[in-house]
Amino acid sequence: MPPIAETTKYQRVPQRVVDDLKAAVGERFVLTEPDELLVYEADALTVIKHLPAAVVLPKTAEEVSAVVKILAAENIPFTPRGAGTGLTGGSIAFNHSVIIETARLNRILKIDYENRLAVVESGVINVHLSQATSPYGFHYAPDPSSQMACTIGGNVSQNSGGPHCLKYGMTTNHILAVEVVLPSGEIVNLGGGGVDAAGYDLLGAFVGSEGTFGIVTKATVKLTRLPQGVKTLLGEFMTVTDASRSVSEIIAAGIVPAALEMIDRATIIAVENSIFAGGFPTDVAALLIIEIDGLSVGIEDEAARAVEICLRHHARAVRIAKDDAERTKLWGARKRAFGAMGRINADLMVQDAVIPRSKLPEVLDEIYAIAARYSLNVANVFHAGDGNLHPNISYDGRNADEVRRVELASKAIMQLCVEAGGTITGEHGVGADKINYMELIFSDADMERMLAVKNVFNPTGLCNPAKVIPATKTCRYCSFGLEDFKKN
Amino acid sequence: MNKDHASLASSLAALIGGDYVTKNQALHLQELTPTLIIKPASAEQVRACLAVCAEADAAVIPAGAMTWLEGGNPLRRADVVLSVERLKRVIEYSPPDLMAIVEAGVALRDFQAQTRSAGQWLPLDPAGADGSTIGAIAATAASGALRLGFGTPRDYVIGLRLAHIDGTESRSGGRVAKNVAGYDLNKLYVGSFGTLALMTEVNVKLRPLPEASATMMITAATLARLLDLARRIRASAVQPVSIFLTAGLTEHASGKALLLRFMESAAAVKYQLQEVEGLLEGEFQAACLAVEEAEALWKKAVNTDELADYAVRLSVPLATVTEVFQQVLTRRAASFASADLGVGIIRLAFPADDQEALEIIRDLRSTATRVGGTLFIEGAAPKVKAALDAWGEVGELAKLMRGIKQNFDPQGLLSPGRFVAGM
Repeated sequence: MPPIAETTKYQRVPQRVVDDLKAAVGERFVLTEPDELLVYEADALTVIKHLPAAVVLPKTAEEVSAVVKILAAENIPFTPRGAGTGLTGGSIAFNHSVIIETARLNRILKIDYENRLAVVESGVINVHLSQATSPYGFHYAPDPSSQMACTIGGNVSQNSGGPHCLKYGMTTNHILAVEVVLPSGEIVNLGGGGVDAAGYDLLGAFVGSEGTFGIVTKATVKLTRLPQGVKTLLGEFMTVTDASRSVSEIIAAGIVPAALEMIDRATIIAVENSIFAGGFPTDVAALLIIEIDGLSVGIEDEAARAVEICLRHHARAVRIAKDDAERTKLWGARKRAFGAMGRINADLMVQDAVIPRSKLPEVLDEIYAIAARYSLNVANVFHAGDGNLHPNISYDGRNADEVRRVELASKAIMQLCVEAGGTITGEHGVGADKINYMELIFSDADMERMLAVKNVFNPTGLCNPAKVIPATKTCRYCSFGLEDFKKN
Repeated sequence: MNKDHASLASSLAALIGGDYVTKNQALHLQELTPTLIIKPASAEQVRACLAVCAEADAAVIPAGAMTWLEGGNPLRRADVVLSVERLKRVIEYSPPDLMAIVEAGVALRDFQAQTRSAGQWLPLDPAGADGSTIGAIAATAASGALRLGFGTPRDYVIGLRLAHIDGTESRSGGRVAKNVAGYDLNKLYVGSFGTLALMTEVNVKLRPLPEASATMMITAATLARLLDLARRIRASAVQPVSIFLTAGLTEHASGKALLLRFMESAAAVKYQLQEVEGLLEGEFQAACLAVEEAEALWKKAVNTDELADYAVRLSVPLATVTEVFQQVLTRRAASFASADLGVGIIRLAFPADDQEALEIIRDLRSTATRVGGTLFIEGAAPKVKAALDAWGEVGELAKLMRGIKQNFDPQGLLSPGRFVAGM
């Protein structure tokens, strides 16, 4: 919850600009009334709220380009937004910017099994692509928990993860090309679309740039063959330490599970008390969901080895999902854990730190100790296999003392993870929420290099202002540094 | 350069010791003869050397084992070759985390020997891999025959320590594989061919060594039969980590062979070999190769550039690779070629005189471009290199790329001229 300077430069978009925008995208697709804008004042990080100056909903890349050109000419900042499911405030409209939402760019343009790729507009919902291709034996592998709602364009901007990234990689490993509208309004194509492109890997740099390099309008993505066989195991543990030791040992044993997730008791109880109940036992300290996939002949043996490791670490039982229905139910419950936690209290502080896997047991112990020290309840549900923690704290934002304790505990947890050799975000991005943690892991010189790249894409700083890199980092390449920030 | 050689040499010798600053006579990079070869011993020394070179306005050519010095376009200037071969410490290797931090001069071969004893590896086998340094592999983003199964350096570099031409230092990425903090600058540095900064440390993620590996070589009377078989294999349940078609690399009557490699658990490898055998009717000859033989053949398949004076690499959409491969073979029947049917990469080496080579390469590039692909020149005589761009066009993206180059190397001192768009 970083302090963000409330700015006053653009209270409303001037009427003639609104008229131009309406001419570009159609009357209905420019929202300017405060009650219409209210939905857009935050994303899934609900604690920071900023009303946009307007919301524009273009339908095509050309319309996005036209909108960007109109706004850039007026020096009005703009913030790209997909489905608004981001957890770090990446699409909050700071500086009274205009939100450009890509939801209407929602067509799957091409599915090409021979080349194992699909071309989609950026507003296509993640799960829709896998639904379209799974009857043919393919899927789009990155599967963030919000995949029922989030857009592929948003995934590209955030370099989104998901449980199955452990084996299949992050979004960046699945994007072959993107069409983007640069902050100048120019439409360019980055990446070779499946062939090696010459020159700097601009595509690689763009993925994960959180909407500060431009607006994705189209993506060419890899399609991955569905595995021949899948085995999903549910390990029941009476201590978190036993569960985390099992995780470390499974990885160290050379097993590469498709997913390896941990859910602690606080999370289990939240989930089982919600409509998303997955039939999890509520009398255990932690559960591991271990998914092994691949050739049917290979997974039997790997699953047996994983079971053996769990039992050696005192698992009370290891269940194997008996069919697809049971597997789907387990994953449904896992992926809705954040939603279930949101019901416990008014607000939820979501963390996303990553630690080296070998440090799981001691770091988890310390996280529970930190929470206890600040009299808070922490619920851990996370991608244990790649050390990507989600220690979440439910609290009541109206209680000032509790808010203060949440902030202190969050910072302590983050420092703990960084000291263990980890990072501040594994898949949710920096956005606005983690911006003040950047200097825990990057020096000024490191961030200056990031700005040196950002300023090539976004020299005016108009595209998604005040995200990712703290504005207090003065920099010789900066055209939108501290001075401008203060002026605003 | 705005400083005479002797005074630059003495400034550098003061930093890293006179033994590691050599006046060069023997090493020629196309038409250029760099004045000095320097071998700093640490990241700090690299950084300090760069600052001195920048002040002298001396062009710096980063190097590892010095095998890729002539890659890309002919250099415009070359004053100092800076080799990181003395930066060869494995700084940290944590097997339980499948992660290592190595200095850029560590040879892949030496590193693999160390990780193998822990049952892990860095699954990269780019051309010339044996002596290549990990820094050079990252800088060139070079991939080999394992690419279908395991990817490229871009998938394994999770962090970098960099020395910049202005004498500053920075880091990108981190020590954990899953990391979205800040911009992913690893991707920009990887494959930048020493034109943005010098890598001094590389953080890599590792994979468990597969339990078993098997290479199967299949031959048939005609190329068409092999291509058809390859298509059926690709459509079946088996998941080879490499699937190559080769021409002129094996000793068979037709000169063509289909190579398959499986790496997994022993049971899964055995199952896949049986599945493939089930797809063969009488007209194919198939054999599993002994380990050494297989390794030699895979090496040959990606090191085609060693087999003749001219070598090119085409990257084309998967669906067109067999068609383009056939065209490549028709255009140049008596040559050495391989096609990575799982990735869409074709490597071709051929002997020719300059004029003929120029025409062939132009032809092949237009073939590649027509299907939406690219052609990179891996080896060519100086005259031909001067006449053709090694990389091909980058079009509308040149502006963004030049902007980045300008911000990282404003004086244009790092490998000037080698990269795309004259950078």
